[in-house]
Amino acid sequence: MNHPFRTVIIVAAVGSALTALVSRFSQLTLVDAALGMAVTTVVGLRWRELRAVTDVAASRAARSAQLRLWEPRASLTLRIPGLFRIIITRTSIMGFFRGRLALLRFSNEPSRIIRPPLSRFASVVRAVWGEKTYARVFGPARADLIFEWQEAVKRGELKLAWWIKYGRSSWTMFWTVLHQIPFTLLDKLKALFKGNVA
Amino acid sequence: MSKDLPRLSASERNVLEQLIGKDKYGLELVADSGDMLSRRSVYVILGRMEEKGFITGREVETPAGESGPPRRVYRVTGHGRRVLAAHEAALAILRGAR
Repeated sequence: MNHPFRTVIIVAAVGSALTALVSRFSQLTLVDAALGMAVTTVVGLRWRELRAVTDVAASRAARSAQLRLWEPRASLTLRIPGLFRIIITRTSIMGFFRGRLALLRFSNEPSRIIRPPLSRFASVVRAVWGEKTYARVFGPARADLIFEWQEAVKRGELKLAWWIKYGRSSWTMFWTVLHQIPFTLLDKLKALFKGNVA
Repeated sequence: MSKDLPRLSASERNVLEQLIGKDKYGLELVADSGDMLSRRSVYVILGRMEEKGFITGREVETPAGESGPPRRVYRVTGHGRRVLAAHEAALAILRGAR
């Protein structure tokens, strides 16, 4: 009997190999590779194989129920009265003592190195969109946010600095990515129709 | 509209008008735009305008003693100036025709 995932594996492998081959000889980035893989996998999958996968899972679940390997039980919150209260009280008390302990332990340490905002995000975006788009769109956005963050730190406005680092940066980049995606797709389509891909 | 006249959105027009006077950073453009530009989309707009040749961006080195990546400052190009002038002329004609 054929393995239910056989077609999925073959299609994904062939799709990945083709995409890698095309990427090797053209200027395609990771976005193209991901799109190529997704398209080849979706197109290559057939309904019958997908049904086989779900049927196998369903039959296994039915068999387990038949053998009484599991039985329905009420959730923990119903079985242990006052569980939420216990968790909240315990977490609060432990958190308080951990905080005091950390203060005692580290209050005399020299300042630690702080990562600027979006340091991890930058490498991901650079890999996905390529150097040119990063330099024109995401790089300037990040540089301005870091500048704002540094100004806030210099002024001693630590709450504002925290907000810039974790709130405003994520929010700005999320929307910048969303605004950039249609233009990227449009550029890719234009390149496809002009025959510039290969 | 003429086929040769490049399209200019309201946001792009605002950017060009601001950059005629002086070079600015992305954040300055947002602050001086009077709610016309938002920081969520301004960098994408600036990137597109650079591709169209309306503006150029250059990276300004971080001052000594400070850290962080170089910020990008934008300047309007001759093409950008001509496009803005052409659009203003076209708008003036349209207003006169009403």
